[in-house]
Amino acid sequence: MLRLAILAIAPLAAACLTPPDNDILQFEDDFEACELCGWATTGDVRRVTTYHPGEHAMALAPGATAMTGVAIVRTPADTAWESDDGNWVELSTDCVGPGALDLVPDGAGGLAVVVALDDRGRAPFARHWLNFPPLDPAVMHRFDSLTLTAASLPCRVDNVQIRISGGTYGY
Amino acid sequence: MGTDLLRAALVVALLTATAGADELAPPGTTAPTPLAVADAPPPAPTRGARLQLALSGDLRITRLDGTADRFVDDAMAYGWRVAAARPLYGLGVDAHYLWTPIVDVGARVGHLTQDYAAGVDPADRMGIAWTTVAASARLHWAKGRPFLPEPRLDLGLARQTWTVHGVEDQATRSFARIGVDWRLGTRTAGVMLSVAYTLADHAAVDGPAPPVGGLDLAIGPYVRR
Repeated sequence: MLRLAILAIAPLAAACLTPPDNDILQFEDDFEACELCGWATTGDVRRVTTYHPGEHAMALAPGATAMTGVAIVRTPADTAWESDDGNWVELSTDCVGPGALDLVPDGAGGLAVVVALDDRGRAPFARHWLNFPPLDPAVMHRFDSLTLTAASLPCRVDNVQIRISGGTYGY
Repeated sequence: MGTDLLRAALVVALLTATAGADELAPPGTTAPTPLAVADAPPPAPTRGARLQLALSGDLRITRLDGTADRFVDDAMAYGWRVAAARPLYGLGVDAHYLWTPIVDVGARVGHLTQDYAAGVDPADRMGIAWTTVAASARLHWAKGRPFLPEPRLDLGLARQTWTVHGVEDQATRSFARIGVDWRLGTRTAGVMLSVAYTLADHAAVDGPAPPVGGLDLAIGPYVRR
């Protein structure tokens, strides 16, 4: 019996909640701290409760837009061996797919990250990843804002993150 | 629920299979021993213990709940950075009346807790606390022989406190717990080992619902008076 208990408990002791490496996380919003603070909106955009009274998301009605400022600088690689883990936006949404991502010059030397949410249908919440277009590793890039737009379907969005490898943490 | 019932049946079948055929036979069905002639009258029967109290440290392996895999997938899909069906742990107290001939009836209260997921901020946790009360029945066919498995059934209600981002949500859930107890000790005191499977009603949640059923392991002292 003791042997059975040890065999059962040993793997459980290793099942701790160790967070993953977040070195390339540059921006994150889970919409829990306050009522869409930091977001400028057009159209019907609300903070809504999801599967638990303590869990909230941002709901965008069709045609609505939400924009927040970020301050992310991706410095040029300074060594030949420096690797690039990629650059992407991560979000959870009940729209069926990830949508589309574009980088738009903002006229001030920076780039606006624009995400058009998927308008093909609704689905249970799922995690989606939107890769940036290829960035020239020899050039400095500055990202000044993140914009989410809903087209013809309402979408709920939660846990939005921007991950830039090599960038400077500074939102 | 069907899968859970199969798991529970399997647990009981495996655990009770360790007893021999003679040990499992109902009282009075085994072959009689030869009579001996006594020179002196037998001593007057003494009144046995009638109440048993037990305290136990409890561990529930929620990984064996049928909804464990779905919880992890849903939590990661929603954006939790790490999620796992971790074991609930806590304490329980049993009180049983030893009802002749072979049935103990009583009640069990317990409290279990655990964190199931963490966000980008490691201090941002999803946690569960389960406070339970249950009616309990157990067959004590061991009749003084030590370390025989005694089947047991608990039916009860749990007050569930589900904490997400520091906000608590409370609900009442029903559960059934089926398994076996082993009593290691004398007629008046010792250690009780328990193995059981808990089936809990499934929460209707559009998102990651932490698994709260699974395989129970419990150990602790008991006394009889």
